[in-house]
Amino acid sequence: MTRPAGSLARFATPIKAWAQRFAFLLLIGVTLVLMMAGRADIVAVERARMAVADAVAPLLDAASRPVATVANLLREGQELAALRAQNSALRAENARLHHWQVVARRLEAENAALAELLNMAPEPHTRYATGRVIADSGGPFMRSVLVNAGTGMGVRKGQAALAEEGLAGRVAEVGGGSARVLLITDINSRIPVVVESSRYRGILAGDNTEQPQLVFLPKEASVEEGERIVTSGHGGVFPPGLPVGRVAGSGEDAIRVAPFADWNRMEYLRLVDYGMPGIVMIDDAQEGRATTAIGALP
Amino acid sequence: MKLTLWQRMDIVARQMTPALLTLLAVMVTMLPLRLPDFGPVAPWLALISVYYWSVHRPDLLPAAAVFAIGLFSELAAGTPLGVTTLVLLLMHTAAVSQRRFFISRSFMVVWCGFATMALAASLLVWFMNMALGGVVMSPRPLVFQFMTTVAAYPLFAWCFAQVQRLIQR
Repeated sequence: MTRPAGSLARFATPIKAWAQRFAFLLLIGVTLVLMMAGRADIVAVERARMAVADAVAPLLDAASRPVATVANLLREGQELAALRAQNSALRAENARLHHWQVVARRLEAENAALAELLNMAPEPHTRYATGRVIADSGGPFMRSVLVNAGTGMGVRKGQAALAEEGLAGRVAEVGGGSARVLLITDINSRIPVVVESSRYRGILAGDNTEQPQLVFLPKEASVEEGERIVTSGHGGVFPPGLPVGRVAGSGEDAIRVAPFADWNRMEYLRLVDYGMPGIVMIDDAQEGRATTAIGALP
Repeated sequence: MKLTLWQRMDIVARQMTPALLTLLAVMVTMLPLRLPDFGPVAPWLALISVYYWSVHRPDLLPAAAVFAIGLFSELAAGTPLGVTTLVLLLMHTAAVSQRRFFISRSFMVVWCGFATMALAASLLVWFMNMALGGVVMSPRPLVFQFMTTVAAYPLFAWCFAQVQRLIQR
């Protein structure tokens, strides 16, 4: 009886090994197909991404809360030491801001009066949805975060995401209860901006470093270090005038901008619904066409 | 011998532990820790988990599970589709094929093996990201991530070893 069993094993073992190898090659093949699918921007891939994100959002939300609490505690501990100095600095800043408030009120009234005088087209109404940052994409080649606000709260693709201090990014994908925000430092991020004082237009292009580059400025443009960069509003997706950053310096290769947003204490993001028909409409139209195309298949 | 439901559940739970731990590693990496400049260089915990279980208990972490975990991490984290999965699968195969060599050696050898494979994995991720994105990227954050990953290996290997002893009973 031992002979047949032995011969069986002699045949079975290579077959088993072959099957395992085949399964492995199959998986590798599927991975390569996925890579192509991911490159081709297929709607189904985006749907799958947001379905997974929506599914894990509650888990990540719950898990990120204690982490945020500990981070806040640590920061508060550090700040406690500098409380006195900070207090007097804040007092001085408050006095300065009071002055600015007066100026701003006067300018606002003046602006409204002049706009009425010129019969200017009204600015679209802006609404905000606020989401908690629940996940960081992680990894060295991606700068994006997941927030727990989705289409249910009026979030749409292309909207601007604001941190406390300034522009943080743009909504790249949106699901029912979560949205992925591509940060302005990501290598795929391109934001139309303008130099606040000189009104030179340019594009803020991320490159995965802390300080994105300012590109496509007009040839005659000269940019000083420390100048404020704000969104230009071109493309109709972002409201104009959102604070983005400050020119950090112009090296030999590029003009770099230090964003106002503080990546290390970014807990909430405000998503700006600017109510202008821009990219959002185009995307919806494309998506509609894609779904009808899929629906038309036998 | 007929097993009761409870015993069967116990066995299934033991068998699923490595895959679940790897999944947990993926989720933990995604948490916003908000430590200064830590995000991009945070250790790649999934790589550690896949390597550890592929060397010590490959029967409990089959290639299909590695594939599923890799795909999940890409969909959830929004990274380019296929890159992480491919690298994790190759890591799994490489570790399984060398496990006879590693299993009888000291911890240092296993760690060095991990460092070598992690270096290859990091380089592959870098090249594939550049090829897919069509741009040249600085390898700097990757070098730091590689170093934190290798440095984190002993701690996580120790934790996994405790778990391995638990599920072996």
